[in-house]
Amino acid sequence: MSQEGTILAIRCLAAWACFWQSVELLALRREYSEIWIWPVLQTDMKDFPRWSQRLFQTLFEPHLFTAILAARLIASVALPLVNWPWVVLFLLLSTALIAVRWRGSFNGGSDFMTVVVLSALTVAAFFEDRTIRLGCLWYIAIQTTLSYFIAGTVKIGKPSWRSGAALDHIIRNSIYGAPSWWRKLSPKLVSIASSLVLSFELLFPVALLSPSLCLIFLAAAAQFHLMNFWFLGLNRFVWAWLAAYPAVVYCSLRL
Amino acid sequence: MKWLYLLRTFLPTWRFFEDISDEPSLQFRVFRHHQWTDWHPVFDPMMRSWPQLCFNPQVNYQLAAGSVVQHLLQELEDKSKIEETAPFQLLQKLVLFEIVRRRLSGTERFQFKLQDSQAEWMISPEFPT
Repeated sequence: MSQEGTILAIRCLAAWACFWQSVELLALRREYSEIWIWPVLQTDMKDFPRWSQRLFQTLFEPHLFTAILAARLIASVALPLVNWPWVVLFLLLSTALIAVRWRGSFNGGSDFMTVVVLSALTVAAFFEDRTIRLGCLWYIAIQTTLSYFIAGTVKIGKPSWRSGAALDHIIRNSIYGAPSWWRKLSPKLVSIASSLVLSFELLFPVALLSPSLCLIFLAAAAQFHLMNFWFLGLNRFVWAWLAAYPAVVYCSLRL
Repeated sequence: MKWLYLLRTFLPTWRFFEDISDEPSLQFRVFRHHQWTDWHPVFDPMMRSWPQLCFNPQVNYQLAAGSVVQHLLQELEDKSKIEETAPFQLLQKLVLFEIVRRRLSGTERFQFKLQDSQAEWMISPEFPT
């Protein structure tokens, strides 16, 4: 697995993630044009310099913001096809702009992972030095590993996660509600499911130690995100994290 | 430095795992045909399907609305003039947007509140539609 091939794989997967993110936001143009509007958002920015307030007011004007999202859509299509650094830089900056419009984040962790991947891709696009690009891949791999490991360490400290009560609560109170088969699970089975989640997250750093272990953990991780989508509706997390996996594989081959 | 939270997408957070208390639901009622209706959830339950793996705007919109509710709960802890905060004003716009989407004819005013199974967290003043 070459460095160039790995970066290309990340670009393709990041492009897929950004494409669907942009399509979803364009489908919500009525919502952001009538709810997340400048007269409300400016209350957060009262202390900003006047030039930056004017800048955000202009960028958040509905037609211009929609045009930026449309340009983001085109940039995501272009990302795997052309190696222009400005394309990935635009994707990164537009992701940050979207986050500011939604007061810090539109979709929580998936926005964070998108920024991680696009930041590394931006640096890799502007610098052809192999050592710098290696650093970019390690940056993605370490952030991905930490995203699971720290979540696991936070959860293991909570009695409700160790018992399975937290997992059960989250699934029952999700946007979709719990599937009927989940409601029939015994507390023992729910506890086992929660233990599996905790074990997977806490053991994830092991993935970096060998390529075969890495593939096993990434298969489990993909399954984990698919479950999160099915139970909680977190579709964006699937694609944002998938874009990071080639970096984890690459780094596991080099340890 | 309060504005730093606008950049929180650049920082990871694990607040999601802190507790499992009930999430207050966002509810509304409208004044129409000379009387107030009952309180209703602003969002109807969603159906899951596999195509949503790629395209899931309405669920992500609801998740973003849930995030605004969380921000408002934080503001409730340390603000007296809650109606001047961005989260309150966003929820006001959002509830009105959903009322308009439901095409409730003859609506003159509306109100919204945050409530869980234990308590009422906040109830808004009445607003004209």
